[in-house]
Amino acid sequence: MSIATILRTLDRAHSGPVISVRQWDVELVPGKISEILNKFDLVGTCNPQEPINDSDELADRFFEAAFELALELGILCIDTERVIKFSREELEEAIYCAPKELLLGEGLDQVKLVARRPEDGVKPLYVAPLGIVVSEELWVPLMQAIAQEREVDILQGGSLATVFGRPIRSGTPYETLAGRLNAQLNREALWRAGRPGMCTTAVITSVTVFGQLGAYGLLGGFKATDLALVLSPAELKTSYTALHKATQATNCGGLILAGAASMIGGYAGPPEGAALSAMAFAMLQYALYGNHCGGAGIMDVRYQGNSGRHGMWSLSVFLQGMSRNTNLLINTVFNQVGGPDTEMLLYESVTLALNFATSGTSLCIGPRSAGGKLADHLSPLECRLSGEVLRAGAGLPRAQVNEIVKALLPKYEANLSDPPLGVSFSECHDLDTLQPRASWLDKYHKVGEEVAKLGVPLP
Amino acid sequence: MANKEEILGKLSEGIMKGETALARQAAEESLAAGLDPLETIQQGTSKAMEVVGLRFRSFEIFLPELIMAAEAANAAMAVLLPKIASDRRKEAMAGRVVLGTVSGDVHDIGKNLVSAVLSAAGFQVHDLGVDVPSKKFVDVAQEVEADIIGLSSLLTTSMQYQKDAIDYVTDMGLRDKYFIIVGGGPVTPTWAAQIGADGYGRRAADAAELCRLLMQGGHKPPLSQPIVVGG
Repeated sequence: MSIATILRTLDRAHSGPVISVRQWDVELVPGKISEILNKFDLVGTCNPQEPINDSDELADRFFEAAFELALELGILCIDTERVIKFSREELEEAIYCAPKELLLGEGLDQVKLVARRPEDGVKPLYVAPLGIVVSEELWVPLMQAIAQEREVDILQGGSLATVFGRPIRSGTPYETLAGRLNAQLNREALWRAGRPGMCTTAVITSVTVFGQLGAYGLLGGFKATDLALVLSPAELKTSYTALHKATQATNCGGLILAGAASMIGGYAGPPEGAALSAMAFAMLQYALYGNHCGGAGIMDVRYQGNSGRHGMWSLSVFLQGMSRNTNLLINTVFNQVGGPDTEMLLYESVTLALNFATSGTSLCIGPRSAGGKLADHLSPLECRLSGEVLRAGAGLPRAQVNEIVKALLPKYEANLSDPPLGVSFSECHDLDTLQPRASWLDKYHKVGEEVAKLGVPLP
Repeated sequence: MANKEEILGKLSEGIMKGETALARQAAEESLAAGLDPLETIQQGTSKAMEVVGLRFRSFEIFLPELIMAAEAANAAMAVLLPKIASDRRKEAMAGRVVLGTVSGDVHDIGKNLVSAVLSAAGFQVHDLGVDVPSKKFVDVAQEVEADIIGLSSLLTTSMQYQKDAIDYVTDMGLRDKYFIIVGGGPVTPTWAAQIGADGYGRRAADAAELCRLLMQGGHKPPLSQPIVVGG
């Protein structure tokens, strides 16, 4: 992000057209999405029986529609209740000038983030885990165990449950302190894992801006070569918090990883609307924040995940539309609901990883084990399988992936609304060796063998 | 003058289409026609919101339509409720809920879903929005004579404010006046029990059943253990 980009965004956040958050959410966004879906003949194109799209024409039509949506809507700043809009030239320039590849991390742990295409043979980068809450005492061993998984490329790290034993109250100095502690523990975990040069994302324990300010670009904190997380409060919205973080990252000469969630059943409406909204917002992020990698996760509000048919389809269209029509570095998110030591979590991880690999994402972040609902319900084994499938899935045709996903969905989709939440890290792993216990390892092997028989070339 | 069926039909239409002005107008017409406001609520507003709720669950409509329907229903209720004798008002609505996302958290979609689901289920909802200080929950609960305070949090670092809000209600000497329910992404039944909440719902859709159980179960706050729905 350049100073010019910051100033343009801030100026428009304070001078753009006025609209209330309610009007934006309930009237303008749904109305515009519906209008554009109709205009581009996209209504009813979601086919849950074929969860992985393989129509290039459809993906391209979604992209064209999303570009128009992006120009017509812009982004709402919720703090000023003004809309930040961009011209066609500005949006095109932002997309064109965004980086097409990045080197992340140092030394032997350095990885290259590249723009991909559908069915690309290059493995997407894998960031693990999502910011699931992890207790202070388990944080380092758990993150060490995850970082030791060779298919994990970047460490995000869990969200700290406490800071030096105290609850973390967002927006207070506890959060500022927690951000710095997060950085410290990240470094410790990476050192113990033997991956000291690994890139990390920052700062997951940062609800407001304070966690970020307390840790990013500071001595002993996260480095400017780590990816600064700028998460928008919702699709097609930004906030002072997000803008603070983007500005702070720019002040430090840092790299920005932007994202938000688009909701099936939410303001964007149907799966088609969620895909459209995700694409429009992913594009707009580059003009808004000048980020280096942008994207969106898609969630289904019915079960707060995305491993079901509608979520899968929306994700595939979103990723294919973006990757076919731009050279942007695109990210998305695993949103499983099953927990550790359950087969469901593994099946969800496989279907999502296959989707991401074949649909062209550059980078993906996960897992959200147990839907992110329970502290410490996270383990390295689902990360291992996800990474292995991302590598094995790179280069597989979408039509083949569709058949594999169709074979696996019946194994878990009936439980999406009431999933097994599994067990905590300490219950499914030996804390001395950090190795999985036998029952969890057996499930991993069982699912792996099943998936290999379906045609995924796992190691 | 329109007859009862026509008026109730207009009220239903206004609610199902999310047309607040139409719903309000139909409510006013029902009073002018001498219809019993309680019956109008039970046979018009509540039935329409049941249909809306079913349509949302089957994804025929989505959150914006659900919100607009709830707003239209609330507009009709604002006309009708004051005309019901105070001793019969409890029959008109399932309860009064003050709802918001706690301090330090600006996520609203889950909270908006709960608000709409509760409205669909016949609760009168006072939605305070996001980043709501503990004091405001109490101030509004007192003002509207709420039955239930609902605290939403999507983040672990704002979850602590759910405890702060309950502690504040307790310190104000008001704990026995309101049921307090909690929910949101990181919130669990264990957390709800730990902080002394009266109820927990796993999904937004669980909120209606939870509130009904609290209101109709002969309970008095604070409960020794929270009622858990969906967990």
